[in-house]
Amino acid sequence: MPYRLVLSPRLAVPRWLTAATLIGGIVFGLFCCAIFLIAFGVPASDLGNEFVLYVFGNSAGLDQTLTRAISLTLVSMSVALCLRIRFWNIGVEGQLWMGALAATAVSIYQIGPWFLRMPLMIVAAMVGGALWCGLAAVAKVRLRADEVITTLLLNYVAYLLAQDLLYGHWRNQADQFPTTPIFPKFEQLPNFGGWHLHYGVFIALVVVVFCWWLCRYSRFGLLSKAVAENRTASRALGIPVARITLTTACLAGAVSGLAGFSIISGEEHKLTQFVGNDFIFPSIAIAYLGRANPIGVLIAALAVAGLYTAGDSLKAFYQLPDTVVVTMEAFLLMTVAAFDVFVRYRISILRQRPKAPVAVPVEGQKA
Amino acid sequence: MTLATTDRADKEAEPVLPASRGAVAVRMQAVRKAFGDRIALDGADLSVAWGEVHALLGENGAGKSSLMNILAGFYGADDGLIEVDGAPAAFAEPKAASAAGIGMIHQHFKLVGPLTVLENLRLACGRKAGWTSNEAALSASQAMAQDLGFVIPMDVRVDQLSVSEQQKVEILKVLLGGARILIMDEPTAVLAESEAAGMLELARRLADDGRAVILITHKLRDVSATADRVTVMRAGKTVIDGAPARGLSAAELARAMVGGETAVVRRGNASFSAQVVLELKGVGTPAAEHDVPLRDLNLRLHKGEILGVAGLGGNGQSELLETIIGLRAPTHGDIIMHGETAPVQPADRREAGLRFVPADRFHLGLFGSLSLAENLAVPALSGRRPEKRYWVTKGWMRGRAEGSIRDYEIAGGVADTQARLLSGGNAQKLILAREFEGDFSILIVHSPVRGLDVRAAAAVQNRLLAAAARGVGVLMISEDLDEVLALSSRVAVLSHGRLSDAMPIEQTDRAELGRLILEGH
Repeated sequence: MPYRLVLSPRLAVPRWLTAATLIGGIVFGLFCCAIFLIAFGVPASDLGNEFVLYVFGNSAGLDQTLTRAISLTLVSMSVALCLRIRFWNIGVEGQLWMGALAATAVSIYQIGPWFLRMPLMIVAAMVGGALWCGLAAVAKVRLRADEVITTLLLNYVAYLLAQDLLYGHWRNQADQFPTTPIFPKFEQLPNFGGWHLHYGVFIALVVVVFCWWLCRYSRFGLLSKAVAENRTASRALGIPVARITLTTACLAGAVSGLAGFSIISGEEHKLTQFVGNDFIFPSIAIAYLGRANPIGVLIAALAVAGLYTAGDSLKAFYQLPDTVVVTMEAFLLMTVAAFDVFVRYRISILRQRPKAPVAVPVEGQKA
Repeated sequence: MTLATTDRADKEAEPVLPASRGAVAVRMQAVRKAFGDRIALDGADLSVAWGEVHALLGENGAGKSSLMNILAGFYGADDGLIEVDGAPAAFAEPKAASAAGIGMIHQHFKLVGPLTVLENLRLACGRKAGWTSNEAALSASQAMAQDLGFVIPMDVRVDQLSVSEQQKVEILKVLLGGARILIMDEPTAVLAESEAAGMLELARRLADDGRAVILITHKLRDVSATADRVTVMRAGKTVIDGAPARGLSAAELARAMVGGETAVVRRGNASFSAQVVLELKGVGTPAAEHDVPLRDLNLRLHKGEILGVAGLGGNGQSELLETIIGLRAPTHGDIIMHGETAPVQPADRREAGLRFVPADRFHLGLFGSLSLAENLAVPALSGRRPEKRYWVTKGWMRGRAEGSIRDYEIAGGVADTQARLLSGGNAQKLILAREFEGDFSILIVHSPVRGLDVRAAAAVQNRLLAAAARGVGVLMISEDLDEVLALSSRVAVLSHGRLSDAMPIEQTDRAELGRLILEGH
């Protein structure tokens, strides 16, 4: 081979390059998705419609995309917060369930006067989620239990608890379906006139802004960065590593819990069997795509929500299976991850030297 | 210069071992190497014959590893002559050195943990050995292992082997790759006493088979037990060039290693207060893999003194520092700060006036991905009374960093530069700037000038002297005896996790210290 590829690690990475590779990765990923869809029989001329028009262009598509983005933003923010201190939160579903259960409990047992009901549900949802994630963090700090395992398994505990309640005490006595009765109006997040989109948008935006401040301008954010980089050095320098781990985990759990509240109060208006399903993989993907940056997470959540909307219309019009969306998500994730190599390394192509000038005493030995 | 034109068939046809026992295998003359402004090798010589075990002796940083890394092709020399078997040999890469029959057994093994022994061997030398099947690899490996008397299961994952077994896999790897010149980098450092003897016997046997074995060590016992000849390096130069090992006494070797009867530069004011700021009473730490346990260690550090802890690296230095700052919990004994039992948490010890400068600047010292300003701000924000509680702006951090950057002459970076981009000297200055902030009374430093150029080293040492003059008790753990003698009021020697009694600097004798360092007490 006359040429060879040389990768040399970069020392300083300019900001524009990080952005450019991210965009490059997404564009290339979408390109792969397009080829994939064409291979499945979607006419190339319709792709623009599917991806742009139905997702963002008409009000129904936009409505669906934005509504979905609310819960996706919240659960992904939960993962992203934890990612910043290298705590792997694989338990957003469990935390979401616990948030939803706690909020529902406030509704079912009619805690507080009607005008305080919704704030109480919000607080309950945050506490429920925070406890669920905090439990894993305590186990990590005290017992060195791996949080990947604990958060993952706590998902099932929360899910089964919810099913138990829905088939038991909380079952709607009116129709015997495994759901709670519809919440009264004052427990429902208001919709934007005629849309599915609800005031949960504001919850998500407040969370994004708060997390952005936390990561960028707060003492807590700076110390978290230190903890993420080197736990031993952090401990030696007096950073309260355990407290930061616990606080971050509780905060992240609370954010997941809010997602649960937003779904039951804004979308379903009751607790159903399905409020907390299919969030683990997207939340991790979005946190990664957004580089664990709160603003990045918001953008990535919108993009992935758009992908889901596109997937729905593809399913409807071309009878493509459910997994198409997951596959496209995977394409995006892979290309963005692969493009990372441009950030980490300077890549140059060198003409191969005829042969490395290596001296081996061949003749000497034979003599 | 002969170009590498050997093809594989040619190589295999060669006899593994040269018949010319006693002929020169490796000759290195006047080799120089600088890393930036630090000179690692300043005219080093080495000459090794076939069939001998050649000990390469020297303190940490004397240049042994640099010289061997050049021989093994890890980096090039700036100047000097290198010959292997009489032909010029400046290897551009490790692969080329390995093709010429040079094999290095590193102190930190280069094995792939999750793979089995056989997979590791195939990965490392399957091509060179020309194995085409698993069976061929297995039988060749087993034959070699049997020949060397190793009992190693070939189908076990490497990370499940003990350290000494892993070392044997390394040796198999190098020998199966056809190495005729073996460089063993402190092979006994990681082994228990009984295993160490076996390893030295093996080195002897490999040499008796006709190979050339270079044994990097700083244990005098290894030299007298095994080596035919010995080369001693000091500060990048060769001070004893291939003298017969039997002709040299331990005292002579020790003196060559740590320097002759050079005048000791005494610090201006060796007086200090009788007040004890830090005391260790019978402190011991648990024995764990890769760690040197501290054994019943006693120490009293006075206000305003610099107490030097001399000794060769790997004798418990890091463990001592980590125990004092609270990262390691002692199994027994007491740590007393200012007359009271030291709090358990590192944060509380720091609060009580303890500061430290670790040897490894990025493992325990700095956060590489954080900026200079952020690194400086971290301790100020993490105690019980942080300077800011919620909002921390870049402007605030930058403002407080600029003074430190100026005062400590941190070059090569502004407040927003990532710390990992700093050179060693500037990284060290950054650590000092951070640790010297605010009031403190106890300072633990470990190899504070390692890797620094003369100017930076002097700046750091002056800071330490100034701190002591202000009344800070400074514990200086250093592997550089000159530095210990130049700065300390009293000296103790750390060897195998035991600390000798501290002697006032006026009463110390360099030769005696050298003996304590090398042979223990």
